[in-house]
Amino acid sequence: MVDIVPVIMKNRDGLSLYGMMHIPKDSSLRKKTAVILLSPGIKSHIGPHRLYVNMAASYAKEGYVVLRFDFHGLGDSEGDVEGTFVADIYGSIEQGRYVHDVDAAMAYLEKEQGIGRFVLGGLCGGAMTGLIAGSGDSRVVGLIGLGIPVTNASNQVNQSKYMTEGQAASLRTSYFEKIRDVSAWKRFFSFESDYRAIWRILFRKAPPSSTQRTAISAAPDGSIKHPEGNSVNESNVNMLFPQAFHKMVFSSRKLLLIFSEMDRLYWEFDEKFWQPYKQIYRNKLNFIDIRILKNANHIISFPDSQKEMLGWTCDWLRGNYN
Amino acid sequence: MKNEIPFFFRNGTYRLFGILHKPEMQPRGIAYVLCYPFAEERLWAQRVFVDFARELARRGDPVLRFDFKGNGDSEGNFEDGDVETFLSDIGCAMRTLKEKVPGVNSVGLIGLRLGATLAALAADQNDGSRLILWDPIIDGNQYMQEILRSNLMTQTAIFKEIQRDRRRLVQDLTEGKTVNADGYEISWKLYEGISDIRLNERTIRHGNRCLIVQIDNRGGPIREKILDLGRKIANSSVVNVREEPFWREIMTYNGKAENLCRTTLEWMDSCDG
Repeated sequence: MVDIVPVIMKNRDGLSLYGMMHIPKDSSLRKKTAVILLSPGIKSHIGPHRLYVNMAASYAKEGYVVLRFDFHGLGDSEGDVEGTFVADIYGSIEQGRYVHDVDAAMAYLEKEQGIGRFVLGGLCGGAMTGLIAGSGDSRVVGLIGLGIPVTNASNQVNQSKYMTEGQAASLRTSYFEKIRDVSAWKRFFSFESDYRAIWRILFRKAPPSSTQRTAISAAPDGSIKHPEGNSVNESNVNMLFPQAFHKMVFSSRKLLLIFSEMDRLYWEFDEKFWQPYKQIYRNKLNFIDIRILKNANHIISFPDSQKEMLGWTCDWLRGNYN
Repeated sequence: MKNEIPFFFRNGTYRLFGILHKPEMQPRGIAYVLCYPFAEERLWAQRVFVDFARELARRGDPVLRFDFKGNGDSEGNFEDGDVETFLSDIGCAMRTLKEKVPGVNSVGLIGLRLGATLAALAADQNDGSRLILWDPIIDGNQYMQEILRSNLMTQTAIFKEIQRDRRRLVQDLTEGKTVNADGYEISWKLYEGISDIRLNERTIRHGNRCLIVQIDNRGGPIREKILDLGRKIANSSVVNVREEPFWREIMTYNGKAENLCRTTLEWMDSCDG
């Protein structure tokens, strides 16, 4: 049995953050690690299609205290979000906009529940917030990242320039399927199409294989060397991602990264980060668990995918933080 | 915020979650229950609701924002909710607001999209005060077809083909299965209940004043169905407000809906005389 309690806590600027805490009733079965779910993008602590409600219910049933809350300026919390374009707000989240609110949540749980070890979890921007926050805070012992983004979101970014081979292949297929579609040709000649993007997709060169890429290596101080002119530097990778990933893994914190098979964020992760970087982590693979949800989309909307994800995350929590 | 109180309240066998916005001054006598739109629209629109509730509280009007059964932080699964439970939840929220805030004489309803439609139906059942309908769903069947379309789009994105077409999805519903729309499980009872709604084909016995707002980002003209609804509800005013569809995922961020908020407050002021 679980108590679900509304909570209000203050962040460092004195703004009230609203959330919901799930507390297993039997204190003797309560785990010493709490889970904090971090809101995705501009959505609230409920998550898309109540994903966070279901995640919290599952983890609390396993004995974990779970806190899900709204960052300042979002959901029910105090504050404002400045910005015209959603993509730019996403971009600022991926640069750590809400890391201090995570700190406030951990402080709240320490004070109210006496718990000092945390697994951070989240979808998309929530996962990235967790990675950045966790990398700089030893109280964080693990991360559950669902569809974590490795690139910079911005309204200004020319997406076709930075498209992964997976995305390009998918779009190429769809263009070829439309070859007999009169309306597609009408649109093509209406001057409304993004011709630069179409050109790039149809005629782009195959990317170099991972072995041909310039080697990326870890510096002795734990930072990662990015040689000038290599394929990753030329891409739109958010450099906070490899740095935070590296810090987490080399300080022996565990990462469970789950991607949906049909999500461009998986292709980006694999092509722009994991393939070129994984050699660095060959001796650290016991800290990294990467899983792919078959036939799933970014928000894990179908119930079978969601059930599988919940099973994986519960097993992972049980196996590592029991 | 000291005057914003999150709490659970009971409607029969289940608990609903709400946030009470207590007025920052002596209550003016009318309080408002805010009715969220359907499924994921609720999440996209939330911040506009929060902003508007805070504005009303600053003016001295108590507000209760709440989640329907199976929605948001309220108890139950999404598929457990239907039009009947939603209307019961609105009635319960109205009673709860009156109990929580002494000095409230009457409770008005404000809803967006399907929340507006439900507010109009609830006003018909409850002794309510003012009714404010923000871009109400008038044709429930048309709306449910849009919801099914989202399932078809997800199938296309995931499987690169439609494995179960619209007819099969409806058949699934009639056979007691649920159909997934953007992650929300729709039951036959919910589908049928919403599909049966033709808001402008029924007389709504609402004795107080009503504001109907068409929201679009081009500036009108007002659609015939909205005008028709205005003719069906006594003492109603119909206006068009230019605003982005903030209840959907769009390129711009809309934490506030200033035109909608201003128009609604001006109408409230005109009612206050």
